[in-house]
Amino acid sequence: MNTKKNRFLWIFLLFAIALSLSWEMISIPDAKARLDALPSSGSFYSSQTLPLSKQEKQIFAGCHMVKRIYKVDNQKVFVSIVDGTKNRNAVHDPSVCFTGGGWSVVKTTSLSIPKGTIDILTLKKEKNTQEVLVWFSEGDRIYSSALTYWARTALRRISYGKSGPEPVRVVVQPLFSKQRMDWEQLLQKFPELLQV
Amino acid sequence: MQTLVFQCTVLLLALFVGKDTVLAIVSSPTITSIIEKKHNFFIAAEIAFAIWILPLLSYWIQTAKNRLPPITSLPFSIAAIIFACLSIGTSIRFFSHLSIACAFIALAPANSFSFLWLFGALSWMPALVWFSTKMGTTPFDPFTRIFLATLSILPQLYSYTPSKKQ
Repeated sequence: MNTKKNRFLWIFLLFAIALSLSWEMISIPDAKARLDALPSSGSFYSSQTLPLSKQEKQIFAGCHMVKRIYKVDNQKVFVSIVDGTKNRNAVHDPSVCFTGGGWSVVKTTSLSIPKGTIDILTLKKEKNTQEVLVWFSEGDRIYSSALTYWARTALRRISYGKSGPEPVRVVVQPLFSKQRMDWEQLLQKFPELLQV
Repeated sequence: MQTLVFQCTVLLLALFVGKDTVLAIVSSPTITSIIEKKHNFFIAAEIAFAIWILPLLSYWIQTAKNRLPPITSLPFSIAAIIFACLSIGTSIRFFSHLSIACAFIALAPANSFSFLWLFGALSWMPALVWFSTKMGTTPFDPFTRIFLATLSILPQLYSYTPSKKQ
């Protein structure tokens, strides 16, 4: 390496080292307030908050989370919402998470709602089949693509949170795998779920 | 020598940026997971990594044995720094894994097979799970990782053999 090139490369490297050390100290606004605003009960529903398991505490360290069982009319669902502002890497593509749990995604259908699109994943594990709702929410904008989530969260980090609110990942799954779900009715009776 | 110091510092930076994954791979109970057929995101990743790193080890053993000055690749080091910066800025781990892969590849001479070798780094990356899930293949099959790692290093391993050099 010649001296000029050498100096430039070392400056570039030192900049990267300084960036890596300082970046973790910078905090951007999180979505805690939106998660806290999710009611635990309403006219058509009630809920029970579940504690995080030891493994979940490890995986979602630094994340704000909602983990509840909701009873909406006669439908019982497990709701999990994760705000990964302080630990973005804990928020995975839901289809990968389910595959990791031994399920196979056999079908993905989209459900259009005024704010965007929700995915209905049909999962299969041995003889069990169940449908799961997944989406990413920014409060006023909803989408189901994990790539969009990564792009939006990356943009938000680069812009110090100025590009918009932090997206949260929402997963709604039936409590019992044989339970038949009417998702549209569930979302009508529990509209707050789409406002997180 | 100065270049080598620079490239080793780049490798340290890449490992620091991707420390979560490095620790996860190191502490992952691979053999137990394979025997018990448990689903593990890092299943066989260590084995795949051990295979993937072979061309570099081979090159360095040959260089030390023949007392030759090491030839390294600066463009891959620069790519490693860029990927490290991208990973830091965006919190996307895939970039930190690319940074680690480039930093290792930079410690050996680059040729056209280096890109295949870089592609083979997917074999030990958690991103393989995502790609294989999207492609509908079996993501946790340890042989997929091992096969990909082996296939990607063969040309590079051959190009670094002494007979080829002589």
